[in-house]
Amino acid sequence: MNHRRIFSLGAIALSGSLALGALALGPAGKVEAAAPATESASLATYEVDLAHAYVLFRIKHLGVGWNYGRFNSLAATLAYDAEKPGNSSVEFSADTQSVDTGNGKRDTHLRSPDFFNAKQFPKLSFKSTRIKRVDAETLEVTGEFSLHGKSKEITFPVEITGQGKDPWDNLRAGFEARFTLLRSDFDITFMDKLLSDEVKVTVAFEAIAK
Amino acid sequence: MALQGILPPAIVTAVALAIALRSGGAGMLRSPWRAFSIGAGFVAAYAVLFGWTGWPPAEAWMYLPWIAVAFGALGTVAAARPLPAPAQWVLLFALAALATWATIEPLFDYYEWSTFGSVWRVAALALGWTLLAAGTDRLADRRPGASLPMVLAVAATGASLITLEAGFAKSGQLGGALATSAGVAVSIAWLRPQLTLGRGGTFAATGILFGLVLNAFFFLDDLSEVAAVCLVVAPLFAWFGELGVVRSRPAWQGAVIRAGLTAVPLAIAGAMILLRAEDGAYPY
Repeated sequence: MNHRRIFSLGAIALSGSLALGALALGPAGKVEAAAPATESASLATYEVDLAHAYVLFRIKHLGVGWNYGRFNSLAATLAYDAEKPGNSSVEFSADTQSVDTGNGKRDTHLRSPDFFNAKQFPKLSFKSTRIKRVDAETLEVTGEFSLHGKSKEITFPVEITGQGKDPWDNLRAGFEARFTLLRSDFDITFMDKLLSDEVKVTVAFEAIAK
Repeated sequence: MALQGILPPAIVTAVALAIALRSGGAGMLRSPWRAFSIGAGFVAAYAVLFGWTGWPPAEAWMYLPWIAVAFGALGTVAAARPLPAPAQWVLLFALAALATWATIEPLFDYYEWSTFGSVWRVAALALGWTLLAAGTDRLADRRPGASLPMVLAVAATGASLITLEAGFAKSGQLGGALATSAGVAVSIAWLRPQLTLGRGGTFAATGILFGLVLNAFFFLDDLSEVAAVCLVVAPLFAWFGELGVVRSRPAWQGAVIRAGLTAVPLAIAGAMILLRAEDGAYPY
């Protein structure tokens, strides 16, 4: 009986250790050695795969049709804690010079001081301040969105579009966020009779655990 | 939208010049209404089109109404108390340097200029601005009447159309407002040939013109150095009208010839911007 009790206690201790060990492993399967003691052990840094990253937008033209565009030059960083999303953080930025709507003259106009004033304000950026889980596939992200010299706090849902091992044995996760901005909040009000104030933005990217 | 950029400058400039003309002779020359007439029209158009701008302006182009006011004030000083030419040049240069610095300072990091590189660019541009302002003013002094307002109207129309084509519609609107104010001055000077824009009356107009081109050149990609220089030297081309063969013509013929001479560099700039422009329609 004593042997059985000792064996049971040993099994509990071993399974506890395994469980703790599993918690210490991030989604990438790697322990973040540099993580401060106060951070969650499951926090992992990800490298955003810029070949599979997009900042897209659409705006209504003359009140009748959506016009689409994208920014071709991006940068992003992600620290993601699958177990405690509150520890996660995300930042992304795009070069306003890289705006691309499929019409060169329109892109030139968008880069001018009529809209983005891309030389004076070369970047748009977002930096999260708070992330919380909504459900298994959705996070809610709050942070500062900066554009055209103005910043505004925004909150938007982020869909975790998938995660798992890729063919090169990297842990890869995909995210997509959709939110609406008012360009007047960023003092971009030119041609307000022709273009809607609302701009719908989609940010989508894949990220690889380091 | 078009009327917003035309009616306010037309009305304000017409009223200002009418008040100045009522002063008659030397009173008209000293009147601040004359020195501010074109600048005030421009400021009215700016306010109606884009609202008033706080201080400091958030974007470089928002300094344009302040430039109009500052150069109008300098014109008032020049008219009320004629200064020796060197002193006037120093004041013009100082104001031009300040306006140039305010306009392009946000881009020092973008262009990665060193401190020395920034300083010499500001100094060189301010020198160019001073030459434009002083040269145009001197010619206006020599040629009262419709001649110089017509030169300024042509130069402003060219700057408006070319910066619009380069992708800066606000500059197109503001250039149109300047052209409207100058056009009103042409009409009034045609009826009252004693009206002169000499002795500081052109400072606001040339200040706005240089400011528009400065913004378009540094904040856009499609306006080349040569095209920008053509836009700012255009009013100075009217000096070729001082050659003997033109000088002896009747006043109205001289005015038309000077306006035609002003259009020469504008045509070059226009051709350059059209050749550089990408194919394809963009009807807004």
